Amino acid sequence: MNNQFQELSMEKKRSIMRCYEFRRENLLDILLDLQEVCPGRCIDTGTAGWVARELGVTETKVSEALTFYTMLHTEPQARFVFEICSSTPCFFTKAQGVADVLSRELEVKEEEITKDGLFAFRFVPCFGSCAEGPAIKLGDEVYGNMTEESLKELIERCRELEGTEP
Amino acid sequence: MNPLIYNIGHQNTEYRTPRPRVLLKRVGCYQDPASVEEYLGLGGFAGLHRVTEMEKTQALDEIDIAMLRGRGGAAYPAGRKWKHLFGMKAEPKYIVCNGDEGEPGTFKDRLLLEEDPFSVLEGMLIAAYIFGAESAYIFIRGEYRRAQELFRRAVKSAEEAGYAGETILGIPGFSCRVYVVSGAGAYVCGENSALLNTIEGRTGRPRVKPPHLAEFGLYLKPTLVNNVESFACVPAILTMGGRAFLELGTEDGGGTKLVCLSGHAKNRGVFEAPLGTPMREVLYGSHYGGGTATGRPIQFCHFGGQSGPIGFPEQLDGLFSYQDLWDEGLAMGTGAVVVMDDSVDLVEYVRQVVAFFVHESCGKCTPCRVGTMRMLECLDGGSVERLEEIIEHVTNLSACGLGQTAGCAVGCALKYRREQFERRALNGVSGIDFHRS
Ligand SMILES: Cc1cc2nc3c(=O)[nH]c(=O)nc-3n(C[C@H](O)[C@H](O)[C@H](O)COP(=O)(O)O)c2cc1C
Ligand code: SF4
Ligand code: FES
Repeated sequence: MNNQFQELSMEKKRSIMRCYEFRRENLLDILLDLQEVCPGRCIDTGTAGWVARELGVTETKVSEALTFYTMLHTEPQARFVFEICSSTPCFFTKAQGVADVLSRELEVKEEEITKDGLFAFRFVPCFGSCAEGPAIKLGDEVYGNMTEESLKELIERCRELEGTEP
Repeated sequence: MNPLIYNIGHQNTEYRTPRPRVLLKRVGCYQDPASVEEYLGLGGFAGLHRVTEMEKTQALDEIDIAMLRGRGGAAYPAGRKWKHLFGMKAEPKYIVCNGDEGEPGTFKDRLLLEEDPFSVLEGMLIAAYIFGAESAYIFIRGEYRRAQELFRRAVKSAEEAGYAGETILGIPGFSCRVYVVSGAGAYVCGENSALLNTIEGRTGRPRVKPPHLAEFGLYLKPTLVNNVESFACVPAILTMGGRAFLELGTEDGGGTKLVCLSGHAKNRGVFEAPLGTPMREVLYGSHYGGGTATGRPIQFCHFGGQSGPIGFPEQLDGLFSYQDLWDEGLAMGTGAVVVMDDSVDLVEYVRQVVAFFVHESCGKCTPCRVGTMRMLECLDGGSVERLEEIIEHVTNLSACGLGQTAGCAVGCALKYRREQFERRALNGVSGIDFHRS
């Protein structure tokens, strides 16, 4: 079972590399895509080393990228991470209120993962949805004009998705 | 003046007619924005056809006459930049489109990339033709995975129709491959030399300049870096002519400008305003911002993202043009206008701005790495004089535009509303209730 899983994910990893024609210029594309399919949605040292070898760059280069860019993670992430925009256009349209609701509903502080491993939230800089503040990002999806009701609804929807393939 | 709005909601695509004229004219007209057939049906690639019928120097003259200023923030005249690069002898030359759009409060590039990607691609291909570039790159921030995917499809579609790739338009020797490269969440990557480092697979920290990128750019070859909106203006200039483009705007900057209204504006979204529209119309006009959502008075506007200046109502009687803004000590920047009503605490606001720079400093040089942190500490409890001193240091000693502009907003606030800082005696702005806005 475990082996099968590893094989499957190796095949996925390879197809991501092929998709970018093994171009070093697409290092970040590759890491972002890999992160999506890796367990825990993070890049572990094994994967980082593999990327370095495939692209012909040093492991240091890859790990530098992993620490420099905020979208890349080396630690396992919650299944659903709510990213709240903290830049001023959103922040002063009640982004803190969003954090308060999430904190209360999920019973965690910023950057903490819920006991079931499902949820976490954090503040991030602007992601270009400033006309819809307060805005949150969940993976590649953006949800704008958040209210307490819409947040609770979103959390519910995530709970329903629990157990399905990421 | 025909004001134009496109509300960039995901579900609520809304237009206020009259229809946009230049940059937004095709937005919302597509079934699939990545289909080259549809783009052609909407009059696309006319600029590319046009440039291939002209002398290259004549095309450069048109862009010069149009007085297109860079839309990425620095407002450098594109005509001058292009002519400078044209004079460079080294080969190959590279075309790079800056789609990092990291400035908070800016979301116009995303709109163009998602709703009319070909207009940007056409601008890049026109540049590729003029400079004989065989590779063009577009760097799109990691937060815009959708836009990246769409742009890749658009490039593919253009290649299949002979508008990109090998022998474009059947013209021998006109070949250009277009590559889409992603960022992964770092504001500083938008700085043009950091952007090139990122594309080369290096970490996105700025380079020491000079040398100029027109001389030693991507892979140390002559390189053109322009913003997404700047590139989207280029086909329009070539189809309508430089003079007509200039006349849309003002002497010091031609064309229309995408304005991103956010914060407490009643109508938030991307608007297309001819340069030279009265500022008050942009802020209060019913076709534009419409004042504030709550009806409270506007306390201040933050221009051009976090790195830009803050303007107070007494500074906002001029035109929405490059020169009028400069005359007031303000700047257009990216076209972001963050409107804040009087419920906001100004000191708290600038604290949040500084916190952004603390987070985004790449750490390469000390004045910025340490200085931004000191600024924040001062705002959390320090003297006004000390704060001013640090702002001066950070502004003058930092190596790149990030550090040099980190103190801009605080500086403006101090200059015009010093008493608010003194009253607080900077005794800590934390612990303040953030929910009132
Ligand atoms: C810290 C920093 C961030 C920047 N971010 C962006 C950006 O996100 N998008 C952009 O087009 N220009 C950005 N710029 C400006 C670019 O360095 C460069 O001036 C611009 O891409 C040139 O294009 P333009 O002349 O068409 O505006 C940034 C500059 C600095 C110093
Ligand atoms: S000014 Fe700041 S962002 Fe720019 S190079 Fe120095 S530390 Fe990096
Ligand atoms: S300021 Fe929040 S998404 Fe841009």
